Amino acid sequence: MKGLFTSELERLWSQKISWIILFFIPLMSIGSVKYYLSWNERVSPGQPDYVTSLNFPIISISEHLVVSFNIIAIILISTVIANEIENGQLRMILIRPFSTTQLFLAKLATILTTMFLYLTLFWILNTVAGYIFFPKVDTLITFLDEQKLSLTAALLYNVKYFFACFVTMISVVSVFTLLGSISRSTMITLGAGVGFIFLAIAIPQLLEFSTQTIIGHSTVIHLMYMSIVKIQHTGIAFLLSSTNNLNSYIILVQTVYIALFGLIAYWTFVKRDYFI
Amino acid sequence: MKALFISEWERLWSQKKSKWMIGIFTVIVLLQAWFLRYYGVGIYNNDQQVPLNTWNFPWFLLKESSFLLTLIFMPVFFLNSLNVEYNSGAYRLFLIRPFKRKSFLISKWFSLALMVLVHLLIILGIGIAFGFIFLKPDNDFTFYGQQKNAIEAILYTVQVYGLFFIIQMCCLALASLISVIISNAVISFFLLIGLYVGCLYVSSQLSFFLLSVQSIFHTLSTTSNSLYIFALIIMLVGFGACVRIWSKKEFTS
Repeated sequence: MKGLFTSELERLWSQKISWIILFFIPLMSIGSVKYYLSWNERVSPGQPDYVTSLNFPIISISEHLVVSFNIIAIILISTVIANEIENGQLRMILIRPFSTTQLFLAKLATILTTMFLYLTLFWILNTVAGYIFFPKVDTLITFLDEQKLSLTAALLYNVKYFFACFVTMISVVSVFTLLGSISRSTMITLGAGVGFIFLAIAIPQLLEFSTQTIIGHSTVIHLMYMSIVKIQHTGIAFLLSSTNNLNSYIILVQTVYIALFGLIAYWTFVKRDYFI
Repeated sequence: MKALFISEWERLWSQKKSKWMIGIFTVIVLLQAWFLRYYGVGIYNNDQQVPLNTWNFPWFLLKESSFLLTLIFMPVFFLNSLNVEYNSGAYRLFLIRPFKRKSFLISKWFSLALMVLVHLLIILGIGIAFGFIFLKPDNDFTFYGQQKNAIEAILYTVQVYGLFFIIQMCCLALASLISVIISNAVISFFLLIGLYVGCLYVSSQLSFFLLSVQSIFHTLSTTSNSLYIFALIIMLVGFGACVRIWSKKEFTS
């Protein structure tokens, strides 16, 4: 099992695409530094969205999770799962005495490890960039409940936020794994994945417009946070705030995503006949 | 050449995913038509909008679905046929046949152009059907400051769909150029979409890839020729360069 995992990891990192993504991550970080330096000129200090050295990683990642990291997840899944099924490489791997369950777990572990690596790299770069470019403070003002956290509590908040981000990435990965193992085609996985992200961005926006007219406010909030992208964008702040009753709902949505899509993906991947 | 085209066309349709994609596309277009009728106005640009009627419904339906077509469905069809087939090694078997190198590529282009037409006909069919069933014909209406009657509106529909087809051919030229140069399907997909988005920033005259129907309205209502010129240049350069690279390409890897 460990050997299978190592071979999967080596196969992914022997491809150009994973190195290209690795090269793009510092660029993404530089992009957000430039954007938020001009953003700070419009916001007064003391606001929760005034970017400081402590909250720069949080603000930066909540923008980048929505598009960049979701696209990275699609790319990884279409190379690790869909592409290998499509061009028949998977048959060579299945000659080895491992079950499809083990193979599925190894592939999932590979994707999640790589994703974790990218996220950690992005986070570290952002922490460093925050200390270099943004005003140094020793209190962090959280979103929503606007608590003032001391330095250690702020660092703890940062770590919690990072792990919450990683958990949302697991849910996204389970959705895309399902798409990959159903379609067995690189292009369909890419198209369907991009379509899923579009929908998950657009539907909460549409619901927000219709707040007053059609459905009540509390129902709309719950419908909006059924979208995993909405959770990635603003939901993690809700999850970590103490005052809101939405935290358990968000945890429930994520569990449903991971369990439901992950299980269907597992089932379709394992039950398929790869030898035809 | 004709046989090669037929074989290409049959290969497009023998895949289960093509049928699924067309089915899903039809469902999405139906939903969009329903949404559009629900709102009841056709938004031309930021300041101009007109009430929908039987004649202008197909234009605005195309405007709704153009995003989906240019960003997801057409890149998937193009790159699946141009890039993935070659990468998986299946295409080397077709290249054994005694035809000129060029004609393989040209037959691919013809079959993909026909595929674009099929999609456009789906949108047009749904647009006309919805227009006649749910909306009232209005024989005199203004559009972009111009008075139009029913006959003119029908002609305008043909022009809008024709120009959209030409824009899709530009997309095909870019897609085939990218997939001839870069062999990785994943990179070419995002590079293609990146090019569309990048063109938006380079110049407003190149924005016809993403804001296609807005630029078509603009071109048809004013005297500007920039869309025709840019489309012609992109098609000539794209297809020409593609043929040259493809004829010299080594099919060994």
